[in-house]
Amino acid sequence: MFNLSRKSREALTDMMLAGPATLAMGMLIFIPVIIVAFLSFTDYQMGAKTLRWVGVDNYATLISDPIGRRAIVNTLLYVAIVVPFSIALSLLVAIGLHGMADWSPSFSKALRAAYFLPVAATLVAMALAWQMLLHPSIGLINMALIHVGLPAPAWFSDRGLVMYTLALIGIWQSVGYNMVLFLAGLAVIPQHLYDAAEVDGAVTVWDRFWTVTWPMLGPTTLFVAVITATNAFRVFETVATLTRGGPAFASDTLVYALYREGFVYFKVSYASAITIVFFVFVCTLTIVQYRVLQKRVHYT
Amino acid sequence: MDDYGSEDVMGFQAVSRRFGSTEILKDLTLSISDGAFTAILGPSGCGKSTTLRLMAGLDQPTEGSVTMFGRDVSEKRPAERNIAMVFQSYALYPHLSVAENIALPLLMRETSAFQRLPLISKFSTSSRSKRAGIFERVKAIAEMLDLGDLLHRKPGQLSGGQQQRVAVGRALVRDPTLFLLDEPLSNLDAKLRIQMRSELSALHRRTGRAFVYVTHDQTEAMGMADRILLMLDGRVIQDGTPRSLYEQPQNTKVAGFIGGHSMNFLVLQRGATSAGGLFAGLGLSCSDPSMEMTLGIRPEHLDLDPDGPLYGKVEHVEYLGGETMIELLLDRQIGLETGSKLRALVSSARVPFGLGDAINLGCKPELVHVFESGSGERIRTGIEKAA
Repeated sequence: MFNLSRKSREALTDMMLAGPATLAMGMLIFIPVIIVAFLSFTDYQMGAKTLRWVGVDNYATLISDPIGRRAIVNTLLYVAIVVPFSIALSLLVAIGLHGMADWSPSFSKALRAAYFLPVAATLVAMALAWQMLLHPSIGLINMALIHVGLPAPAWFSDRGLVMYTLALIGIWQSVGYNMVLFLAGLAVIPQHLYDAAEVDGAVTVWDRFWTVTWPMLGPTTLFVAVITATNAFRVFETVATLTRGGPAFASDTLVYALYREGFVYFKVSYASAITIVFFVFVCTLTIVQYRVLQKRVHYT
Repeated sequence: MDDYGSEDVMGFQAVSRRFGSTEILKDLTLSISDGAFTAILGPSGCGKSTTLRLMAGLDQPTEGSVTMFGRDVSEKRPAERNIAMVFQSYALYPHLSVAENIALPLLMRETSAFQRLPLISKFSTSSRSKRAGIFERVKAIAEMLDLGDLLHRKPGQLSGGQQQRVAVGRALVRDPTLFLLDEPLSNLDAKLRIQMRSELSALHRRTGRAFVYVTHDQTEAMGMADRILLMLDGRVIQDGTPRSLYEQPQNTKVAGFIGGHSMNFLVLQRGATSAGGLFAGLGLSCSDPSMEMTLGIRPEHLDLDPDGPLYGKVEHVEYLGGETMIELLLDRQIGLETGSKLRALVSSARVPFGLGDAINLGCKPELVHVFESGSGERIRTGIEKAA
């Protein structure tokens, strides 16, 4: 066919394999990001025929406006709660189920499936289940609390509590996925390291955990932390279905705010500014996590 | 059996180990003498690693008991038995430096769980002074093993031989009662293996502790051990010095396993002991002519001899340098089955013949092993050997 050198033919093959996906990435991600970044410096509104350059006004509004600030603080709070608790809890569950596989494989498998269910299920439907469970008067949880004589909080309408309630659901939702990742990490820890630790005198579960399990899970934990954090930053479904950012913006988050500003109030430029702030947060977090931790979890 | 020492550091009494329906160890009784270098030798799957894990306390017997100095330790964990183990894969902690790897057994024993907590360990003064003392000892061990310059490296940055030394250092650092070594040299290249062999032997002499060394490599076992337990199918089939295993194999299995070149077995027919036959030709006589026997002769014990009783045609010649392996198809003679073959290792300087030539081979009577054909057991009585 063509009289190409072997090197150029191989290069052409590489281009053909990677090209289409790269093109799609460019069209669907990079170009929109550039457009969004541009729009965030204008006063463009959905359907408007003109737009005007307003500089950093949108960003200034986001930071100075109590509602905008609220969304940022709420999102950070949500991430700060969900990430450590989800990691700790999923690690505990994974270690438990990993050990259980030795004496009751079928029970361990059944529990794995149960923990993974929230990941596979539609979150909107699950959110409704949570709404029923946490209903202030007819919810199962409050009925139980009243029964044992504890106060029954208004989980979704108490302004001081609502973010924690959402974080709780966020933890519940992410534990299953993280558990699967940790189980995969645990499965590849060589048994001889535990044997060596045992011989070296690491007798307690605690010692073995710090001597072998935790260090050997380093790369897995880093990955889990990054995934959980980026997912937590994106919290939207529970907010949209359970609280709509309320009461009085007490549970407003970045992505819910951008949805409301952009698609309810059609303030595309302001929504774009929120998007960029969100984007910067996620990127910074990811880069920092990798930069700081990567050297400490890979040991060669 | 020979006397290896006064006290048994470790003993098995009728130990069995089953995994599901598979029986790995069958009614095993053995003892390890204090101060001796004992090798457990056997092909893969014979149960030698399971034996070592039972000694270490990493595994528990299904039946029977494990004792140390006569006391039952079946329920005791490795740390309570004060054993040290070198693993085949070295099992170094990849996140810890060489110094920290070697120090770990001491840290685990001599500091409290509180002092070992990740942050406390750095800021507590009591913990710091203890650590300083420990690292002095680690340094001494590392110098002894030639690891002095590598203390701050991670295992991933070391060569196989260096990792091996770190594993040995970690075992050595806390003066254990018993060293268990699980095929410690099998991941090293041939040259390094020979070097480490002499280093381990020297280490054994210096520490004076009991070593139990599991290997499938008989040259390692023969070269290093005071005593070999030869295992097959979950049983010890012979227990003795390297010399006794080579010179007096108790059955054909041992005879076939031990020795650089596998032993020749010649199955004799009934009546082979009568005069004029091969049996008599080799200088042997037997008081019980009804016995069915198999002769075992090592290739290295055969030699060219124009009057030798073993004769036939050269079928194959393998030049091995200083020596040459020749394969002979033996001619028919009284007592010998037709088609019997014999491999002989002779000095290359003495090979003036080629394929198809007829030659005679001889062997000293005391180097001929006689086994019972059916059971494969060595025949001890009733055989006379001409001096």
